[in-house]
Amino acid sequence: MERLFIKESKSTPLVDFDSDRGLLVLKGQSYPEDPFAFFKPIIEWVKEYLASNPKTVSLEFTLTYINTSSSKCIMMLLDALEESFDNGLTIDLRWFCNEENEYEQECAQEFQEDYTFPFEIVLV
Amino acid sequence: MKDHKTFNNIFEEEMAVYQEAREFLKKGNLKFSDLMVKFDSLINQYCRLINITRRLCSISDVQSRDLKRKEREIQNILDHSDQGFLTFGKDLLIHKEHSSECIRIFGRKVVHKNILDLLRSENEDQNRLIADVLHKVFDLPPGEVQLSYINELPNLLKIQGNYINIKYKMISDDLDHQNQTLMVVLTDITEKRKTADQVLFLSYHDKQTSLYNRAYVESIIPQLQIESNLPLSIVMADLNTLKLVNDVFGHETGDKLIVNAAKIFLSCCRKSDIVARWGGDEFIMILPGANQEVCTRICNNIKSMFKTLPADPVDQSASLGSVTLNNWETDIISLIGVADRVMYNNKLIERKKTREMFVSSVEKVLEIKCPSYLEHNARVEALARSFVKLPGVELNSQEMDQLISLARFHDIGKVAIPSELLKKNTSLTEDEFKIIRQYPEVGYRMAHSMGEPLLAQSILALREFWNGKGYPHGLKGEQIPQSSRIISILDVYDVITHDQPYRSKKTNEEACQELQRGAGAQFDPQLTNLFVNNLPSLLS
Repeated sequence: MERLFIKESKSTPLVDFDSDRGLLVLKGQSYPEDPFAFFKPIIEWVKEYLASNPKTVSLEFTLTYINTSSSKCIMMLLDALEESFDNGLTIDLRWFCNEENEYEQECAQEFQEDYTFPFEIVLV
Repeated sequence: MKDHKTFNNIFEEEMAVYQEAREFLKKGNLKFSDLMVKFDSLINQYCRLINITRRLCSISDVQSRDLKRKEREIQNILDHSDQGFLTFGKDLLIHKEHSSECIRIFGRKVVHKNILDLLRSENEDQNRLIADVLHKVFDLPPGEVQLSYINELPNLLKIQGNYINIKYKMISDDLDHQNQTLMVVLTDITEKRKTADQVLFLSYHDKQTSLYNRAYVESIIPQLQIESNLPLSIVMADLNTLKLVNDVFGHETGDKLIVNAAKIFLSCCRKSDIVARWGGDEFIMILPGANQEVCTRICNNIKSMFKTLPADPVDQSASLGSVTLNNWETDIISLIGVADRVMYNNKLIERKKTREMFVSSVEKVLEIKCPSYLEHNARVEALARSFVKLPGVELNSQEMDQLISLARFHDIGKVAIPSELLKKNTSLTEDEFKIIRQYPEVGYRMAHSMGEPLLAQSILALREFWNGKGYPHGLKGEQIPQSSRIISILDVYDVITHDQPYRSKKTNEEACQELQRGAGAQFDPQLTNLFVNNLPSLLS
């Protein structure tokens, strides 16, 4: 599959999904004007990638700010991963947070709560 | 208004379940078992939706708290930066006061106010410039041309009576630079400017008199050396007896004398003249366009003004030296040197008169402090004149002159003693006695300043005792100058035989007994005997 790379902007995070390495990276802030328009191709890429039966998928998220609509989109992405995990795919997610920002950690914990695949909050 | 389609899209999946259920209901004639299946599916979706909504609310709240915290932190920093931050766009209306300093600087809230109104001053050219630039810059793309326009804006404005330093910075929020915002950073530099002005003032002014100082005069000499200033006169002035006043009455009194003199120099000169303190007790007056006649008139005015000053505590005077230049064959520095020499020459000529004036002033002060001062001195002097004629007292003419001077000036140091102590009719406390004991030293300093070192030594030794138990140095026997030994006997005799604030007068016999009791202790025994044995003839 072709690598999905979207450069970071002031209101959107860097997206670097590399199917060859099985590594999906999201890094930055997310508050686009139209979050669905931004996340739709990303979610579709992930769903297509998961359908290709990859061996393992690793995810690295560093999201310092995400607005509510972006949060919903990320949940949609994580839901797709959860479904694949339930079907036997090996998945691990590392969510990086600023160790001095309790709010960032709290936010990551909210995402972590409902998923059963390995979801590690890493303080940096 | 937010387009709800965006939100519908992110709930696409949930909306699909809802739409399907509605379509299903529209069909009608539904069986219970089919309804149950759909109902079950709806409950699951509803539950999922609640879960999603709960998490979204929670995440959103956390994010909001974080944003609010960051906002507070930034606002706090801005509010404590002592700078005002304003932004405005092409319409020139202020978006927001980004820090509380803006309200302080403008004295009111400025949101939605026009920046041109806020920066408007009495300088119409400047107002036009600001308006022209601000109307142009928003139509220009970021770059050197835009920056060159912004650089034309004034960086210092007076707002609400305060000096405000202003910096401008164009900010682009998007890549195509359609929404440019100009940020204005305002810094109140009034205090800084005041301090700088004060430093500048102090660097060119004398702090004590507020007159210009020597550094100022030296800095403007090149500017003075122009044809239109001719004829130019320079007057140098030196305050007489300042050192004496400082020594006797203290530096506070001396400082007052300097300030009084400065006022006289300033009042006698014209507005165009430069009056400066040249050094300690020296002043300079540079009089552009003043010929010799004008200069002489100013000098005479100064002398007259000094004479009108009340003796506070003594009469004041100044020696003056002046010179007038009619062409620039000599430079001002040389001219100052000439005026200085003339002044010193005059000072030497006036020296005797100045000292007499000072002594006379001091005596007047003393007469007020101790009403019997002059009479006492006259009696002691008369006794001294008779005493030196006694057989056995061998004084040469110089020693005799010194003795007579000592008789006149032996108590002159009392001028520095507070009147209350001199007039006190009860016993002195230890502290008061310490003050009283200072008068021979004050007298010594005065005599020294008047150029009379021998007289000074004699005054200082007046309270030394024959047995070495006197003060200030504990001199003994003939270490004490003879004149001091004689005058101390005559002085004490006269004090005993005349009424004092603290005791009534005694008879000659009683005085002689007292002197004899002190012979060998306080007084020279030989001189005491000579005095006591010859008292009748001395008094006649």
